[in-house]
Amino acid sequence: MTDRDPTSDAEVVRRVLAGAVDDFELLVERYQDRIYNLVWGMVRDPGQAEDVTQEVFVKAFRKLADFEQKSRFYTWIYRIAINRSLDFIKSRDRARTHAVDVIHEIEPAAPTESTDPSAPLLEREFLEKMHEALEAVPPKFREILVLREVQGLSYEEIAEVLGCSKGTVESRLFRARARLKRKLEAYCRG
Amino acid sequence: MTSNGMEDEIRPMDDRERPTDDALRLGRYHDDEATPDERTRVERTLAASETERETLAFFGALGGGLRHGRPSGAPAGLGSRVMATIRRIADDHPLIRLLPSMRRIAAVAAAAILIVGALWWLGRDASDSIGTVRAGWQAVARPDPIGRGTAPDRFYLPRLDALYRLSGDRPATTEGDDR
Repeated sequence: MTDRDPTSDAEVVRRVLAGAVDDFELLVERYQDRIYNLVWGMVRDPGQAEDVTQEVFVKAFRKLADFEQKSRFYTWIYRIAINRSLDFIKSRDRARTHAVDVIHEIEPAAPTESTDPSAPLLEREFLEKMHEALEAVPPKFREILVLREVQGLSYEEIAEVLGCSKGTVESRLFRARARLKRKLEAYCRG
Repeated sequence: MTSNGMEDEIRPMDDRERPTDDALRLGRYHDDEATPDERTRVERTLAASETERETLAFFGALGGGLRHGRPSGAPAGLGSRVMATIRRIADDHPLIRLLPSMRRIAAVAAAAILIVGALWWLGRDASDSIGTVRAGWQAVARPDPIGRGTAPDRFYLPRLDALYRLSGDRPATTEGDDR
């Protein structure tokens, strides 16, 4: 897909910037599933993921003129999605800390897997522990795990999204997994 | 530690510490990023190392856990809701779209007005003070003990005295000023 391809991201962006606002729908249709999955992987709640995804696209539209087309559109919008998700998580964590008495109301619905009656007990328990551990790791580890495991991006693509080298991706990914392994070790060995 | 260094997986690792080459190779193997040579090497080691097999199993479980419950796609209607919001934004008057920058401009303009106002106020006060001092000085100077008179006196007192003379009602304060 070249830049001059009428359906290429770059061309669609050019048309939207020229005033064809409705063409933005092409980008929404093209990326909504991936962005929603990415945000879901970060916030782990379907309702909140939907709200954040909507904000991501609105922000991308507002900032479209700033998109310099030096990178690919999807890496740019992935970056927006990651930043917006991290902001959301931060504010959610703050709300949890400051409003202890309403924690049960504001806590996101438990992930579907933990209430899935068909999931074996041990598996459900492992998933719950894993999500607890994931909540506790630094955002840079969480984002890289989601990009790799949920989005299935290659090391090269992750490097492009995060603006770092492939080597950094490799070692950060390894550290993230090691961190989670340490956190789950007691459970796994028990 | 085993010869392939995979015991590093077990001991706590400092976040700044670089993982060993063996550890990274295992990660690449798990992520399908290893070269054929690396794959062969890892598979050979896996056959011999329980620790490495355990680590790989954990990587698999972790990936599966992260993907578990992943929605197949965005909820129905999300795209249309996004587009409805975007069309609303696009329909806004360009001035409304510029609102954040206009707020900044308004803030700068307000600050400028305040500064100009403050300067004008200070200037007016200073001018009043100068006027007061000058009036006081003139009142003191009016008797004009050396007979030269202040500049305003020299300008208007002769005219004032001429008027008084015409009216025949010369006030006592101007006595001695008849020049």
